[in-house]
This record gives sequence, C-alpha cells and structure tokens, in this order.
Amino acid sequence: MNQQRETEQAGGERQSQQAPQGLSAQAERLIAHMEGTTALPRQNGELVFNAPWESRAFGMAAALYEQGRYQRWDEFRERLIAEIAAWERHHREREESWNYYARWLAALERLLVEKGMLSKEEIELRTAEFASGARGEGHVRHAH
Amino acid sequence: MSAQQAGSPPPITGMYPRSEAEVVARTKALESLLIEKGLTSSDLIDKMVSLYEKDIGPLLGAKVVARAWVDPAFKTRLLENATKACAEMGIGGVQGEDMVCVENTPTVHNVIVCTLCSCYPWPVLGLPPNWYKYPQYRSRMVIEPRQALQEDFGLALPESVEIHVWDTSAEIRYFVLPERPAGTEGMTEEELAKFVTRDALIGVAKTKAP
Repeated sequence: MNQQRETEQAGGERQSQQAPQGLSAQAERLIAHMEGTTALPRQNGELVFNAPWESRAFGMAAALYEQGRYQRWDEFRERLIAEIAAWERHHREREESWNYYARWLAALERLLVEKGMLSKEEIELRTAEFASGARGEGHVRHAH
Repeated sequence: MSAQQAGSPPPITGMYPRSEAEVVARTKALESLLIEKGLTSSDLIDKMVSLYEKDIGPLLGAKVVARAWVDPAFKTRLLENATKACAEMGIGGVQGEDMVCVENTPTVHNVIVCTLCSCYPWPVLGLPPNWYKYPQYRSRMVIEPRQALQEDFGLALPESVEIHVWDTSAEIRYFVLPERPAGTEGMTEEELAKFVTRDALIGVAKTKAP
C-alpha cells in the first residue's frame, strides 16, 4: 500500500465564482439530492456510485495510485480540477447534466495518456469496439 | 495549488463526450486495456470499490468524534494532529495523509468544502455525497455560508456564531468535531457515535439530539 506522504506546498487558492441566478430553484434541487441529515452515518440512503461504470472509474484511479503507477495523488487531482473547470466554463446554466464521474473519467483518461500508460489511439479503438458490441462484457476483466 | 510548472498537465482542448453509452464504453475500454498491459487487475479495482462501498464511511469519523467527547486527552491529540490520533484507532490511509480536525464551539461553527473539485477526508468519511461535488455547493459555501447553510441545509445559525469555511483544496483534508449534544452524559463511546452524522462531520448539520 502506498502510504508515502506527498510533500508539496500548501496554499490552495480559493476559486470564487459568481453565484448563479435563480438560487431558490437550484437550492431546491440541492436539497432534493441531499440526503442523510438525520440518518445514521451508514444509512444515508444514498448510493456511493450511481452506476457500475462510476465505480470502475473510481476503482481504476484508486488502484493505480495504490500500486504506485503514479506517484502523487495530485497528478490525478490536478487533471480532475481542470476537467471540472472546463466543464463549468461551458455548462454553467445546465446543472442537470452535471455528472461528476464523467469529469473523473476524463481526468483519468488524460492521466493515462499523458503518463504514457495507454495511447489515445488504442483507447479510441477499444472504446469503439465496446460501443459497437464487437466486444462483450467478458472482455473487460481478463487479459487476452 | 502551485502555479503552472514543468510537469503540470497541458490545457484541455476539445469537448469530452457526455453520453451515457459512450462513457460506459470508454470505462470498459480503459479497464480492459489496463488489465491487458498488466498495469492493474480487476481484483484490485474490485477491492478499492468494495472498500468505499462497504468498509470506509462516516461511521469511522463518528467513532473518532465519540472518543474525543469522552477522552479529553485524545481530543487534544486529535486537534493537534488528526492523522496521528486517527491512526491510534486504526483509521487512516489514502486522502488522510494530512488530516485536520476543526472543533465546533458555542461561538464557532465549521464547515468543509472543496471549491475546485471534491477533496474529502476519505478515511473518516468515505467518499463524498453528490451534493458536495456540485458546482452549486462548492461555490456558494465560500461566498455566503450562512445563507447556504440556512437555505440549502436548513441549518440556521445565529449571527453570534462565527462560521469558518475550510477549503479542502490543498494538501490538507479537514473534518469537523461537532459539539456533543446535551443529555448524553454517562453514555458510552458506542452510544455516542450514533449521534454523529456524516453531515455533522462535514459541518452542514448539527449532531442528532438524544
């Protein structure tokens, strides 16, 4: 298990943003999504992952870090921050389409390509194979 | 966060695909390629998922808080070095390498946020809830915390209570030591832990009352 402490400068910058208009509608949406204020800690009624792909995206980033395939968690986190910021620049009004793990997946893919673990071409090719059904479920978990 | 330096990721160009079908296919593609190249295994991925779905969650943070309520020396150690104090209880790990516990008092209420992404003290809280990651929460809590707590979370704090917002964007991972509720005198740690909710550990709620 990689317990190595990352030493880097503290000093996170606050990114202040203009609060969006129509706060009460958005607040309602927030409250509708928020659960667990009165429930016991483990029974907050909310799934950790909303779909299996989210759990795999999470698991990959965490596993690769545990294995030391990348040395600092910040190498992933910086890309996640960048993906989130890019999305927010383009999608401020459409909060319904916000999907956190889509940002996570994008950051993971960038990390893998930029660290030279996978190439963009092979990712695109393999994605197309899964999307078209040319590859089935059983082709994920085992090496061929 | 440090300024752009050698080794920082290049700027993002192009839109990222958003359809559900495409993200599903991409996720499978990444996993199958990583396994083929021997970079990881599905077993290890399963293990990480299972850890956070089943084992690591706010129940651990509740135990830490309950101990701090009954043991003043532990509380002192917790406030001084939360990572070390949690390690005494076998609690720690990824995203908990540098934890800081901030204490609520009758005049100070603490709340945590990560304005840039979703940084969160995994070892004591598990993975963050959806709303914690929403742009809305992340921006509003630093701009107008008192209104956000009142309007979005139903937590009304009088003006006499100072609100400290801790932006978990840097290396440190914060969590809150909420006030012990009245009427819990003589209770065991196990009983006390039941009053500590995830939301109280984040700071968007108070503890449950007995």
